[in-house]
Amino acid sequence: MKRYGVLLLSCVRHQRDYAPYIAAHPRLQIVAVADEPGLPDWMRQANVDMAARYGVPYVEDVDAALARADVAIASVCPEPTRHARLARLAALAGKHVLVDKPMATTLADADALAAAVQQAGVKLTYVHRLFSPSTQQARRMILEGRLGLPWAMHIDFLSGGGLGSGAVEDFRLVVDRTLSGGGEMMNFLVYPVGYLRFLTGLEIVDVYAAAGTFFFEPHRRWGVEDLASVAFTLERGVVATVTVGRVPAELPAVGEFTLRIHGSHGTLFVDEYRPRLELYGERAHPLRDRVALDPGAGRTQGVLDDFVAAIDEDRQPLVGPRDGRAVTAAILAAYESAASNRVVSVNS
Amino acid sequence: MIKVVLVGAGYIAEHHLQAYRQVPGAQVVAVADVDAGRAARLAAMAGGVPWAADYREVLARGDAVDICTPSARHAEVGLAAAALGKALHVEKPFALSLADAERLLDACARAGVPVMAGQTERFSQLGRMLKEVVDGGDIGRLVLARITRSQGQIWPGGWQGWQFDPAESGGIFLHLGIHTLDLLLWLFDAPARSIYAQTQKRASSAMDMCDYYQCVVKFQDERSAIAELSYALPRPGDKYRAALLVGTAGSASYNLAHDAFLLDAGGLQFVDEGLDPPLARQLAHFVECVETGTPPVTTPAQIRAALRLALAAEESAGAGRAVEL
Repeated sequence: MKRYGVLLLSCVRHQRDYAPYIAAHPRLQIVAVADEPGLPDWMRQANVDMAARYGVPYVEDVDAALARADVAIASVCPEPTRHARLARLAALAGKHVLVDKPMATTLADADALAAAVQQAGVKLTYVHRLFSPSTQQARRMILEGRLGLPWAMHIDFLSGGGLGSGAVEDFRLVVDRTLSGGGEMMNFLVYPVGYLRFLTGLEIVDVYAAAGTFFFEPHRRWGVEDLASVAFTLERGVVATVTVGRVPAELPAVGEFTLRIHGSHGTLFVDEYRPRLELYGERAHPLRDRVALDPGAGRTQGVLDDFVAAIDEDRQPLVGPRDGRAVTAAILAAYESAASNRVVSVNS
Repeated sequence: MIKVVLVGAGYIAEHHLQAYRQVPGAQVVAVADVDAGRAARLAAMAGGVPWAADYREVLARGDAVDICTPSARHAEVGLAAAALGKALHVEKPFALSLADAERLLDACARAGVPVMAGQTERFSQLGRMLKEVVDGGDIGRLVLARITRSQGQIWPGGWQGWQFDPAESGGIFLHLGIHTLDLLLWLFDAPARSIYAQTQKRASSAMDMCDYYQCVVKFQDERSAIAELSYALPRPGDKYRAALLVGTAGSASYNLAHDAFLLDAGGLQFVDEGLDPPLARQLAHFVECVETGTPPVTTPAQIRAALRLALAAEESAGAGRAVEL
C-alpha cells in the first residue's frame, strides 16, 4: 500500500519522541522538516537537528513546504501556543494533521482550527494516551457492562522525576505562558480529561480546581502551577477528581498514572503502567527500566495506526477537533476556577 | 480503675464496650439508652451492670461518660455529664452545630474535665503512619493529599436507621466525612481556607442522606487535598482504603492492594486486617487522660476546626459552590 509523506512541521516540542514511530511506520515516510522563519536559535536548531537525523531537507517556509505534493500529513509539534495556528495552515493546504497535545491553548484557536479542518475536508487528530493497553481494556470492560454504569472516576496523573528527567526539551516550553499557554495543567490535563470523556462517553459540565507551585524554580519564576487538585462534574451527574502535575521525586514506574472507576456494579482499578515486568539489578536504570512493558510505545503506535486507518477509510480518528476543543475548554475552565475559587461551567 | 458510663447502647456503643474490654484500667459500670430493651441488652453484655432508659439516672455512677447516642443528642448529654464533673468521650461528630460544640467545650473547661472527640484517624495505624511520615520530614513539606475510603455499606437498621435523618446525624460530612477531614487538618497542621464538596445518593435515591462524597480542600500557600468516600461498593462488607501524600521532597502512597488479597468463591477481595482497628487505642488514650489528667490529643481547637470544615462541606454540597472558611 502507498505510504503517506509526512512533513515534520516544527520540532520544538515532542517531535523527537514521535518521529521515531513515524519513521518506523510501514505506511508513513518523513519527507521534510519545516518551520516559520525568524525563530530563536534554540528552536531553529531543534529543526535542523531533526532534519539531519532523518536525512530530509529543512524548509524555513511553511507555505512552500505545505505546497509539496509529496506531503500528505503534517506532524505539528511547535511550542503549544503555535499548535493551532500551524495546524490550521496545514489543514487549509489540504494536509491531514497530527498535532501534539493540547490541540489548542485558546478556544478561539480551537474553533478556527476546527473550522479549517471541516472546510478542507482533512483528518485531524492530536496526541493522546487512549490507546494505552490499560485504557483500552478499561473501555472494553465498561462497554461490556462489567462495572455497570460508571458514576465516579478518580485519576492520579503525576509525572515523576521533574524537569531534569529528560522528558522536556527546554523548561521554557512548559513554564513560559507565551510558549506553553500555561503550566502543568495546560501540559497534562489533556490526558485525564481524555480518560474521563473516553471512558464515560460523557462531556465535562463544570470544573473546580486548586493549583499551586511547589517544586520547581522555573515554575515559580514564570508564575505557573506545577501541581493541582481538580474536581469535575460530567453529564448525568457523573463526578470525578484528578490530581495532576509534575513532581520532583521518583514515583512507582515513571509516575503515578492510575484510574479508579466506580460503577453501579463494580469498581475498576487501572494503572497505566500495568501489566508490567519490573527489573531490579545493577544494569537496570533506576527509573525507566522498572517498567519493561512500555505502554508509551503502544499508545503512540496506536495514535499513528488509527490516524492512517482514518485516512485510508475516510473515517474520523478516535479523537478529532471536537474532542480537542472540549479538552481545551475544560483546561481553561480549570484555570479560571483556580484563580476565582469558583465552580466554572465548561463552555461547550 | 476508671469507671465508664456508656450513654447510647446501639451499634457503635457495642463496639465501644468490646474495646473497653481491651483497655486495662477501664470498666463499663452502667449503660443508658432511650430504648430500654437496648440498654438492658448491652448492660447484660457488660456483665449485668445497672442500666436506665434515662441517662440522668446513671451518670453519677462513673468517673467518665462515653456518649454514643445519635449525634443530635451529644451536646445535651455532654452538658449534663460535665455539670456532674465527669470526663467526656464524645463519639464523632462532637456536635451538629458550632454553637452546641462551643457550649459543651465551655462547660467542660469550666468544670475542668477532660473532653475528647472520637476522631478516630488519630489512632488508626494508617493515620499515624501518615502523620509520622509528614512530621518526620520524609517527604518534605506536605503539599497535596488524596485520601480514599470506599466500602460496601451494610445499612444497620434498614430504613429505620437514624443515620438517614440529617437532623439526627448531620448528613454525610458530619457523620462520616469528619474522620477524613480531621485527618487532613491533622496532617497539614494548618487551617483549611475553603472547601468544595459534591455528593451522591448511590444505594437509593430515596435516602435522605448521601452515601458518596468527594471534596477539594484548599489550605494556605496553595496546598490542597482531595477526599473521597463511598459507602456504595456493591458487595456489602467490602472495603478499600488509599492515601497518597505528595511533599516537596517525596511522596507516600498506601492502598489496600498493598495488604493481603483473598481469592475465594466470591472472587478477589481486599483484606483489611493487616492494620489493627483503632478503637481500643482511642479509648485507652481517653482512659489514660482521665487517669493522669493529661489533655486528650483532640484539642478543643481541633474539634472546632473539624466540625467547622464538615459543616462547610455540607453547605458547599448543598449550594454547589466552594465555601470559604
